[in-house]
Amino acid sequence: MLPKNLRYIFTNMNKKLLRGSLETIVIKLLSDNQEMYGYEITQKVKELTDDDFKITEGALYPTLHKLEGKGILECSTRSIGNRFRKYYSLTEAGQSELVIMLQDMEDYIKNMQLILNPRLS
Amino acid sequence: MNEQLSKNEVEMLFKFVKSKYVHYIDVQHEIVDHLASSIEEMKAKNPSVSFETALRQVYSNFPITGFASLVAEKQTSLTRYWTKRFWGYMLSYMRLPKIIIAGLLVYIFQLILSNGLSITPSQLYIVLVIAAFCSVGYRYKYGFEFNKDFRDKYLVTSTYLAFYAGIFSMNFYFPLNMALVSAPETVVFDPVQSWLFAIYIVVCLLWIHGSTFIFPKMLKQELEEKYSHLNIKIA
Repeated sequence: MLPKNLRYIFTNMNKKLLRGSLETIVIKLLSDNQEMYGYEITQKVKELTDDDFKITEGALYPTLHKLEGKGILECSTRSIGNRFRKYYSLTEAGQSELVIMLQDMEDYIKNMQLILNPRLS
Repeated sequence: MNEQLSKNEVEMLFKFVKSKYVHYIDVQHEIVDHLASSIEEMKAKNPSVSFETALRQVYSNFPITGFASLVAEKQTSLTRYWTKRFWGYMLSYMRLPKIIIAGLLVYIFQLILSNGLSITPSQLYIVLVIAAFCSVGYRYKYGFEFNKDFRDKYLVTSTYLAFYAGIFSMNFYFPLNMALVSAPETVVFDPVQSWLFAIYIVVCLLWIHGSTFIFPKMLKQELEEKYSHLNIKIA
């Protein structure tokens, strides 16, 4: 178990990294699941990462709205019992954006690994 | 599937969201669904937890500013969306097939201007002034109401009207501004000038057409497609 101060540093680092990757995560999930609603996205991320990544509502909705404004996501609203639910899905532009984002992320991870684990020559 | 919150509890959530200064109904719906989904899941895991405790816990996941950043980002996103829609219309005249119409209009105006007409640039802009006044007349007769209720109740209409006011006022800015700064002397247009003036007039006419006829249709279409559940009435 890490000491409390180190745990704090790692949790914050994790949050920063997560915030920076949030757009990629949302687009990838929507590509795999066709359409999702906000809460479902937060739960899916928790499930896929065994509760390691927790997306806060304060970070998720601004990201969803930003992507919607950029034309990467579109939404539709449906009634579910006594309230309405907004579902997000990828637009055509979003599909092409996904390819670029995944490539960027792969390159980033590869380069980070080179920095963190330099091969001995 | 978790057990759904009762109608009464959903109404309490609406009251709660309103008490946190979210006045736009369309935004309230999205936040309420999120809060309700979280509370339902919490109650499914621990049935003894009360509605109030669950709500407090769910709300603590939001930042210290509450829902403010969410509303602000939604506002930016909608403004960006309306800007994109209007410029999408304008730029469509740069692509096939509409570029043929724009090209023809430019050619016709260029022919008129290069024909040695004895006119001043100010007189030329009369065309645009007339078009601008016609657009006001049309809006007055057939446009929807700009009442406070309609403007402030929904974020989608609020952002639309803010952007609409900007592009509609440009209908007057274009011709009047240019008419005032143009030389009062009669000008015989050389070929380059006549092409430039022709392009300018056509861009202004397309802008006036877009802001008068096309952009209001975009709002109606948007409300029908994405906000039909709110039953927003525009005259």
